[in-house]
Amino acid sequence: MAEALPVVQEGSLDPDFKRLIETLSGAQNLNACIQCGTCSGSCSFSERMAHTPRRLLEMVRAGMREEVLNSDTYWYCTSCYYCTVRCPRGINLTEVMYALKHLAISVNKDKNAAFYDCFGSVLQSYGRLYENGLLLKLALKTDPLMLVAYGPIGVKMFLKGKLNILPSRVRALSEIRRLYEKVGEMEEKI
Amino acid sequence: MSYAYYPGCSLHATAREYDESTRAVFENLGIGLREIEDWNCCGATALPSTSYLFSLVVPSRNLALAEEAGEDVAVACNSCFVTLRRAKSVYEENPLWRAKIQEAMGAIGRSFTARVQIRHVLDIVVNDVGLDRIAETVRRPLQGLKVVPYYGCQIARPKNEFAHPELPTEMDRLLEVLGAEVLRYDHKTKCCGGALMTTKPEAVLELEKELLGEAYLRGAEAMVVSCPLCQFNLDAYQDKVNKRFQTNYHIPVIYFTQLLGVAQGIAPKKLGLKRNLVPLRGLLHKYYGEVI
Repeated sequence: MAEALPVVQEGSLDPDFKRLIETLSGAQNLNACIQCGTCSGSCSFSERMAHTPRRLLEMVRAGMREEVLNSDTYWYCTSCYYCTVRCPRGINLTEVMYALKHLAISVNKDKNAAFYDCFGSVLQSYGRLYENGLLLKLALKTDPLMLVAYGPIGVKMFLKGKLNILPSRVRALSEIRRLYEKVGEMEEKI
Repeated sequence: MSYAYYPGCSLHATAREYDESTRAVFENLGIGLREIEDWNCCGATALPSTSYLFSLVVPSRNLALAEEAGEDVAVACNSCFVTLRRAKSVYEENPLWRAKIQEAMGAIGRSFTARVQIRHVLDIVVNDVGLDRIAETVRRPLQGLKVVPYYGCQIARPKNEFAHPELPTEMDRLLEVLGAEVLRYDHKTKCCGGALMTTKPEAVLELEKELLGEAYLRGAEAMVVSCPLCQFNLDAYQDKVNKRFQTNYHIPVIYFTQLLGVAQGIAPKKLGLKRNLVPLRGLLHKYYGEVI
């Protein structure tokens, strides 16, 4: 359910936050937003969020860094692109949500952040997705009972020949690792 | 006609029947599909949350491999499809990031020039092969089969590539040519929740209930899909939806390539018809008798 707009203490705003999100979301102009609410009206999960996508974008523009990074809005984003397709001002809100998740992951260690973290490390280990490995990593990091919840579906998938017991690997895994290192070096300069 | 095939991780695991049926149908249509040698995960919608640049270069490696092979890419998974297109469109539209992608690719001795086309298998079937040619290959018309087409969200977004981003008709027309009765389905491009099933299961189960609910109300005997995430969420979690919302849905969720193969008279085993969790037996026994 939507919450009231948080009261902001004087001096707690980050004037550079909007610029940062514009850069991290692929060089966008968030001033184009006219607060029409098409994004919120299109999102499947607006009613579950404390702050709808429309309001979150305004909070980004206002520089409410802490409130934005503590919100749950972007953890509900599935990258369905409804908001992006419909935005009359051409803003790619899906990329804005990616940028916010990216920043939140570095300060936040809950289950949402852990999922993306684990996905990234599985990709580096194998070069491909390995569902068992991803689930095991995530469960150990957050909630081991997850494994119990997934057990029955795992068994069904295994019986249908749709669960790989062992990971499939990219042969040239060194290329994936080199790309990761290289990007790391380049990002330090961004 | 021949393509560099990018199966993606799901088609080698949870969506094996999508891989099997795509290969079988393409073989039957005489279209070459050569799997890209040593492809890697595209990063899907998870990687962009960890690093913008890394999420562009990881799919770019696959596109570079396809360029080396000199063929356009055929993709079946909607999520891979949107991810590969995202990398290509940033490369094409943004000189700053293009230079960065080139620099990173250079570190592994590869080059990506974005000249490769990225095509969804539904697009290839409907637009390259064409519905007239498809009609000629139908051996067992799916007469009387009531289905809803569920495209999922990422097949035609964010940009209109080959289908309308909100109301595509490609799968509708294909299924009609196969003889099926295609029912109206207003949720045809609503999101299935994707990977959010892992982190926000309550919210996503409610989405599945809505999607299954409309299919049920329309009288659909099956939902026809084009994405492994949609198929998995609707098929594998149907029991959970029923338990959670006291419903009694029993709706098979089948890939369009499987149904195309059925109409073309391809053997059930080649289409992986036993791999769907909600069994297809009741739906397809009239076409195969006791075999399935």
